[in-house]
Amino acid sequence: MVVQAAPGGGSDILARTVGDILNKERIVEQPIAVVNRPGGSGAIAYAYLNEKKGDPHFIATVTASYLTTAIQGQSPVSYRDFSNHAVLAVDDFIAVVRANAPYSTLQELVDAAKAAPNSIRVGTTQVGSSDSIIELRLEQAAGIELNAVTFNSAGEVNAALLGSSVDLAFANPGEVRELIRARRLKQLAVFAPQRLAGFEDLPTARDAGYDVNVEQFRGVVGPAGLTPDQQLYWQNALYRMTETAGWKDYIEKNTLRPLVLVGQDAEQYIARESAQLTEALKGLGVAQ
Amino acid sequence: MDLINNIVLGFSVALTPQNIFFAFVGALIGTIIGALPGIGPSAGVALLLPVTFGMHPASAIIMLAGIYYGAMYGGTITSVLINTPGESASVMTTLDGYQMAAKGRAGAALGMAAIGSFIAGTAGVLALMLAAPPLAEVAISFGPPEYFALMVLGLTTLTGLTGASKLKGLLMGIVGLILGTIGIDPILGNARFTFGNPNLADGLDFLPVAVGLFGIAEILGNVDLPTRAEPIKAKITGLLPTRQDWADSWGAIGRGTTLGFFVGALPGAGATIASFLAYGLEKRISKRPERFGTGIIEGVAAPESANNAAAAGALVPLMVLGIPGSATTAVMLGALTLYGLQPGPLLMDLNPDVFWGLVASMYVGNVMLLILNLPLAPAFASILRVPYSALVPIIMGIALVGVYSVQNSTFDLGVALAFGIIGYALKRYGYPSAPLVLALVLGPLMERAFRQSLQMSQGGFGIFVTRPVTAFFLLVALIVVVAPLVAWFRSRGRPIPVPVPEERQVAC
Amino acid sequence: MTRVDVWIGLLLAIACLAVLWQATALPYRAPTGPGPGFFPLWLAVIGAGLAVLIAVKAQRTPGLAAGPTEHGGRAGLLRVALAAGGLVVTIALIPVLGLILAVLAYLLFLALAIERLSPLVGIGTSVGTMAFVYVVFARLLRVPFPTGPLGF
Repeated sequence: MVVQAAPGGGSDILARTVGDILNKERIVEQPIAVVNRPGGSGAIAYAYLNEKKGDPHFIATVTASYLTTAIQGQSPVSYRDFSNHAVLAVDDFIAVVRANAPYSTLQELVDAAKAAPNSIRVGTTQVGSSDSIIELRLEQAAGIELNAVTFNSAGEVNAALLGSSVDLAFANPGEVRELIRARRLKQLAVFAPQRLAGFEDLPTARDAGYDVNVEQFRGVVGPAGLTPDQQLYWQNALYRMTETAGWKDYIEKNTLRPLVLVGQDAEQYIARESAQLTEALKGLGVAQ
Repeated sequence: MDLINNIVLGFSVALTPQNIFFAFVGALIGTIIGALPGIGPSAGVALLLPVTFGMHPASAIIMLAGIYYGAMYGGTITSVLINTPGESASVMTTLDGYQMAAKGRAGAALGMAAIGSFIAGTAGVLALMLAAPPLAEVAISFGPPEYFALMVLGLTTLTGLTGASKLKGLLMGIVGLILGTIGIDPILGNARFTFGNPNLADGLDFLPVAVGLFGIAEILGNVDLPTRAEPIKAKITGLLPTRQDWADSWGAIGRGTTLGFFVGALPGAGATIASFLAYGLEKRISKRPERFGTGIIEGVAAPESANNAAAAGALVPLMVLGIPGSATTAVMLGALTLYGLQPGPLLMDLNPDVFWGLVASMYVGNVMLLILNLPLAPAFASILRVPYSALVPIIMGIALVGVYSVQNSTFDLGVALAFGIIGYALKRYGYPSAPLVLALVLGPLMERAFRQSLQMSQGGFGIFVTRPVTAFFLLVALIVVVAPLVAWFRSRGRPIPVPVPEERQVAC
Repeated sequence: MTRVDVWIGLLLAIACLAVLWQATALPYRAPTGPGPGFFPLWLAVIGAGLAVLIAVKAQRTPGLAAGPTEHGGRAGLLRVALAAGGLVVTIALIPVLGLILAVLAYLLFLALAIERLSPLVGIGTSVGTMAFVYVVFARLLRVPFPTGPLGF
């Protein structure tokens, strides 16, 4: 199993959890070894996997960078060069501000931004990331201008938000849930098709009248050139994995939203995401 | 009182035989991991994460913390003995540590590093216990402009790290900064100087460069020598620090600890910068600045105290706010989540046993590190009795496999080799390597903070003078740069002062 | 400063100019603030300036101050070239032999042919080191190394 990140990150822990469950529940009998191939926003891992054409013994965990790296022209291989086994879950994003901020709803924020363009600073991770795409979409949908400041990681964005260096952030629920509970941050809206489990009183952006819906998927892919049987094997295995208690526990602890798609459905989902991301990244001016 | 109750609770958790054992195992593994180049503290914690599943969360986090600060100390060992930093926070230690080893004083260097680390670690934990919440607020109030100013201040000390020629040191610093711009642009995502090679997209990794410039270059330099090098020429004297060493080091340890803890608490700054600033500060205020880099004990005590204090400091934003301040604490955050804990402002209230148990266990762990390392310092030092030639295969084997292990990449081996040859050439012609490596680490941070600041201000440079902390740091940096220039201009036109004989001896 | 510094200064100045040339291809300004080209450009300018300064200074005052550290002349340089060249070959052989075997072969070459250790010491340290490294990295820390024909 190939991981596109260094040991210890969210992607790495996800991969190790998947591998662990597949072995422990005896869904896959052969021991699964995790190989970290970090670097190049995933380009190194995808190039490595691409060399293993037709070898069913390799799988890789992927996330949005699987698509965005190729769209930005930083990887010669794209999702079309692999067998897209399954989508396992998605990360949602919610808009958060400091608890003492003068706005409590997305609408109030938009009004404030309209009154004084560029006065609200939003912290995002690198251009092309999911939160930078939300920023762009929200600006377009609401006709506002935000002042984006680009950080290296979500942790740094949250620190900057708490420390008043920025006023707004788009974060995964798991990263800010405790800060919200401790009344350090306020949540304004979630950019998902419907309200989230555990966040029932948090309206969606669509409720506020802005149809912005961005999610970051997590999936598993394999090299191209597998026989239909081999593809079916992995689809079955991964599907059974998502039914286990261990996986459900992981989803809950990390505040992911379950979204299980295999085979054709996964292919379609990924193709649709890729088209949407391409458009969004063109809007940001970073697509090739 | 609340605090006392909490401390009692903490020690009741930390002092169970089982948790003492885990603290010991963590410190031991950490020391080994830190000493081997390749697996740094963050990867070490990540790789051993699965081992902790099924343990009680408090035991698990105690062991991971042990690995973390054990690794901070372990990096010292190879820096002193073979001039190869095990992780980036130990680069500064090579400057004087290896020179001390060359004079036969490796034992004193390692011993002082162990003691300095112990004092710094203990003081750091004390501060974590007493003042974590207010400190976390100060730390997060540091925005990009403050970081930028801090980095500028750090880089001005580069001029002090230069050995014979200031000009050469400065040029090496610039080369390091240029090398630091390789990779995907942090703001806009343009590829810079990658030549289409995905291996370069994330820039040059620190470790292959450092192992090349320090370790491999050292070996090539040895290979060059006509006769087989003898064991370190000077007699190995004093396996432990002397009374004089103590007198020289006290101040450095105190200042290194304070500085290290605060810098460590800043998200994104970390132990490397702490060690760097501590060394620079020490040299700046020393009565004998010209002797830094020739193997003096303050040059080891200051950065070593700073990097261990920084490891404690980095836990401040993690434990108080659930915000990771460094790569290692990010891994620990993931670990806490997997144990079913919710890191955040409520952790201290909801899981006091974990928070206070961790704090108390760090006292225990620091004592263990001292017990473990103080007797080992002379043992490690006596490795240098072996002729260097016989150490060559050992150093080379560990260095190569370590470099490979960072990213499982043979490309990195190529990088290490290239920088080994470069480092050999630099050494041969008297160009210092340390400014290059440090600029490589600091450059990207500085550039990002600079550009973030201007994003915040919509392009206005006023942001650097209107924020008091920023303005203060920049002013200090300016003074540091301008003062020697003024002195130099004044001295021009006057007869060149006759050098004091003592100075002539050391200024070679 | 010595004569060599003149050449080193010029070499680095040329390298900086190459960086400068490359940097001009990157956007100098971003929508807000400096762009990706800003830092590399100015660094290259400063670097080139310093390098030229070193060359000029070395030209004016040749032979001042201690130059190179002790080294082994032509024979020494040959040994360095062999050691570095051996490493190039080693890196190329890793996919074939696996990491452990390739590095072991290199260590033996280094110990016996270049450092001229006695066979016992040379083989002992090389094999011992690789065994230690294998146990720690591959077994305990489970770093996946490229494997060779013997399975490790």
